[in-house]
Amino acid sequence: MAPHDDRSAPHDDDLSSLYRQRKQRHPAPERLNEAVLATAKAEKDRHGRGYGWKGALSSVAAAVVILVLGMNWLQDPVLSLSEDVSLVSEMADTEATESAQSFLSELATGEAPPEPARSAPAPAPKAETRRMEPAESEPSGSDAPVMMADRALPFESVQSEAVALKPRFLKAIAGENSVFEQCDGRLFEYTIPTAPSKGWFEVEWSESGGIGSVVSRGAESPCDSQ
Amino acid sequence: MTLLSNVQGWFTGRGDAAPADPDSQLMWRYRQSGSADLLARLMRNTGDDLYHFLLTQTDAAFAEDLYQSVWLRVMERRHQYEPGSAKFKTWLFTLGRHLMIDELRRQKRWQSTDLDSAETDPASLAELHTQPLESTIAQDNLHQHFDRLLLGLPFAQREAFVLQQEGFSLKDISDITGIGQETIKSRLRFARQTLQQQLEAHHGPA
Repeated sequence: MAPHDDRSAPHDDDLSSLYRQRKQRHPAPERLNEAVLATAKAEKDRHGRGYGWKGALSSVAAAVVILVLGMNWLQDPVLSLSEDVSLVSEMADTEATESAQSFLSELATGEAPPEPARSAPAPAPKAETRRMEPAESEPSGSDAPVMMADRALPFESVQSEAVALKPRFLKAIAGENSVFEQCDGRLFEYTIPTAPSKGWFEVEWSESGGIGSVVSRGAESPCDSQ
Repeated sequence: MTLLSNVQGWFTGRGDAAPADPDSQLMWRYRQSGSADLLARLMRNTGDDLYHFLLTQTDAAFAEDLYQSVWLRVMERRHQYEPGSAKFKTWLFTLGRHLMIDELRRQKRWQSTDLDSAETDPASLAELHTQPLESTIAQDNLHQHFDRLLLGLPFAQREAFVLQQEGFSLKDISDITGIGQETIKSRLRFARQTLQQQLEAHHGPA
């Protein structure tokens, strides 16, 4: 630090010398320095210990989380990852979660995952739903021709539907040996070898759901007797 | 302080504002690390200067309390030290002077006229100032006589003289005291004249 330049007085050097000697006689007491440094060290230690403790705790917590997740993943990569997805997004809807599961499964296995089991019954396909619905849109007792192409359904499905519905009275349709008309006018598809070629007949269903017996009821509709 | 200002400060701190003198460099390092060892080196380099300044302006007990308070303030405010704005010793003495005047005011040992009324009659105004150290100094010794004369100077003259002897420039003294440089010059002139005249009167010209 450059001293002040305005020092042209003849005895300035003497004053400076006297000043320096005076200062040497009055140094800062060492106990004051020691007290200040003790405070400084305590402060530094306090800060260092505090930050160290927090840092160590954070590191341990992070390590535990990583360890637990890693162990879960090793035990069942797909399930663990799926659970993780569930934890991350509890608000996600079922479809989104299932998509995430499928995606994670693909990532984990490298191939398409099997269809996941569902607790609720799967909704029926639209075609099946339409087939099972009562044909309210169709005119009751109508004799209008039915386009068979509209009802081209797999046989197995038709059979199970027939077993489920079990109509009592059916009317044979000319030229068809497996399609019959019901009392409400709707068509019923089922192979009944013993069905008459024309007119109404009554079907008795066996306990197993199959055809028990067929009794011809003639041309007159027996539906009113139901 | 925002991130942007921190970044700017970081760049300015490493650029043209980098400290030049060793004590300022030490303080810069202490600011960043808070190391007690660096603080010890700073105290070793500048502690005696600060203590003597406080001792000359007040008294021994007062100076000791102030001395510790100043260094504690350095610890607390180390992040406020800007090497580009002041050298460390200037910053240190500024802290010390502010603390000293605050404490004198708190103890009602300070009057606002102390700085302004000291130019004309040093002998009579000595009573207005803080209790001088070593009031019983014998006058048969040059050093003791110098001590008595120095402590007899008005507060403002004594302050200017001590700061000048500590190596501060006029600008530094002006920064530390908040007084204009012309006023500082005037105080220095009065202080030197008084000391020289009194010393020559008793001990002859050097």
